[in-house]
Amino acid sequence: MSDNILQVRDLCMSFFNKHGELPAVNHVSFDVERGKTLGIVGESGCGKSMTSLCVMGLYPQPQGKIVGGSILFQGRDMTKLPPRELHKIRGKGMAMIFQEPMTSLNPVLTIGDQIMETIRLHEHVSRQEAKRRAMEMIAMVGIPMPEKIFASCPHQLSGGMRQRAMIAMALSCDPELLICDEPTTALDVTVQSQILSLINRLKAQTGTSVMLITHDMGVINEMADTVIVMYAGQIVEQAATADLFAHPTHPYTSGLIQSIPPLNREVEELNVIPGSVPMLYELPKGCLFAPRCPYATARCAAERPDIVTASEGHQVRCFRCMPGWEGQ
Amino acid sequence: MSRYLLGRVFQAVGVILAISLITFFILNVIPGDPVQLMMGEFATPEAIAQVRAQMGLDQPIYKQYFGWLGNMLRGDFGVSYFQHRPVLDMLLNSFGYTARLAVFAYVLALVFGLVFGILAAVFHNKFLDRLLMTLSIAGVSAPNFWVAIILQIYFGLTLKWFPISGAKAFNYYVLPAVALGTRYAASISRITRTSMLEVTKQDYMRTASAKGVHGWMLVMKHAFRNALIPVVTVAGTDLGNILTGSMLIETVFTIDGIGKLMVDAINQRDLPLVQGGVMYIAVICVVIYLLVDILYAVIDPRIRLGGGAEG
Ligand SMILES: Nc1ncnc2c1ncn2[C@@H]1O[C@H](COP(=O)(O)OP(=O)(O)O)[C@@H](O)[C@H]1O
Ligand SMILES: [Mg+2]
Repeated sequence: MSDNILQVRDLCMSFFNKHGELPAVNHVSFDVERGKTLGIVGESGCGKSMTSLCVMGLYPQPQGKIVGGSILFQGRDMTKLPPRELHKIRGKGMAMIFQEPMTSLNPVLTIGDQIMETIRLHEHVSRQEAKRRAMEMIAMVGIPMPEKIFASCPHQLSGGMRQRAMIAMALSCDPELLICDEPTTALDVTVQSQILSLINRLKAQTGTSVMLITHDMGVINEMADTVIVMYAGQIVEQAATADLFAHPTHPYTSGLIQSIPPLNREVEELNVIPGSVPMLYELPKGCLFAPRCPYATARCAAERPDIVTASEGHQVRCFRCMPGWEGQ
Repeated sequence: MSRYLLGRVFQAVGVILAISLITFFILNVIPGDPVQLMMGEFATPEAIAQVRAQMGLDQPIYKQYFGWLGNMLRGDFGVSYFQHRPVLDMLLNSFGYTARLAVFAYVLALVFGLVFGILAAVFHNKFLDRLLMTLSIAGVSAPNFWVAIILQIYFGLTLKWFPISGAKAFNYYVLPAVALGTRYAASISRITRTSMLEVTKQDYMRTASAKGVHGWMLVMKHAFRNALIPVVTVAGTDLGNILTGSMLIETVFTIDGIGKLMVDAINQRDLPLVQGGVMYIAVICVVIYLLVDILYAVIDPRIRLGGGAEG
């Protein structure tokens, strides 16, 4: 068995509101291997953020509830740990950076205070030592003039600098797992690639595992070792990155790959998948992707497919991968 | 920071000048001739004219205004028409009572308002929240003189815990301060709660949780400091309101504060006293707004440090 830092099994998280039970995370299982990057990809509203927030134990409560499954982090089930233990893990064992660097830092505290806070919270070190380490982190994420930035407040920094500060904060206690929820979506294209290569460099340097969430297959291609493709709360395809790009099997995956904007070329007409992700309160009865799928049949509209192994290490949730498809 | 401050100070001075102008002219055109009032019905026109000349009331009105303004800047607010004492002395003397009452009321309002507001937000939608918010609605809507009378009857007359009139010692101030502070405690608790709940939804709160921050540290260090910004606005205005709006309470509890002084002055058309009193209120309000602006800058680095890089 390989060395998995995180094992998510059959995770189900639902919202409960006037529409009843809404499955935002629907029987999701995956592993994050030590020192590797797992990519989670899917359009907006597919449940990527909720999946990662479940891992952190930070999904919206009390509207949302984990209704099944387990999240084993270093062998301990995050869904069963008491709050006291979760507080110790967050920021130390696993850390997270978010999509919106503009709003994710506390506007009234300096960058230095915010980084030192994490260090002081989890490690019993003096103020001076915490400050020294915070400064070291700021330098490590490639921020020029660490002393100046240390004393700055978030509003004085650009989006890219803020995201670097977020990364410095997240890595300040040397976490085993770094969760990045669309870390570059809100940034300019040039800054995007800087941040991505920063994450890659730090991953190599510190040996942390990464869970990288994005809606951009291009980012996945560049960063991930393995990929899960999510659609409407479910995993629809799961494979090693190279395998996924060589043999995209689910029609949704193919659609996402075709919609990668070509580099260095004026985009004339992007190949986008028609339609949009269904709302959780109006999920189709059969396969969740059927209404948008070019290959959908009567069976797809009536029945939900299970996820099956298409080839070694490659799983797909589609009737086309199941025996008997040709006959239809 | 200093440019921000300097701008505010200039603004404050401008506002005070504008108010002095308005006060002076409005009070000079309202009906009711003070000289007539002072000298009674049977004074001869000659006598009246003589007194008018003595008091400078026969000068062109703009001269009267600049004279009045110049005197005020030198600390001379004129002499009361009826009590023949310097207005400034009377104001300062009464201000002692009003200030003490206001400070007690304000401390009560701040402490209870902030504590209740934070508790209501932390226990959002729980029993404590509902209880405190019901109380706060009652507090906001109860007229303060009515609260005053209820307190007098219950704690003064029935239980005999506190005196109900005068201002001789600390315990004299307890009931008036509670009566005056109640509605402000209620309004501060409501804005604190609303603001805390708003902040709780912000992305940076989730970031703090993701770092492992929890419990009261999350509430006070991360939520409360951000929530304070709208609270300071309300609390600042409230301080102005408390300092300048204690007339009814002073009347009900027979405290010789500015409020009572003003009510009497208005009834008697004691122009110098009314003008001095209005200027007092104006200066208090303007100074408090200035302090609020300074406090903003202390709390919020976006104001203190000015804009930075964007994008
Ligand atoms: N508080 C909530 N109540 C009900 N539904 C929610 C709530 N928050 C998110 N959702 C729904 O959960 C689904 C997954 O959202 P999310 O994980 O944020 O998607 P993604 O990160 O993939 O864009 C979406 O359909 C969204 O509408
Ligand atoms: Mg998301």
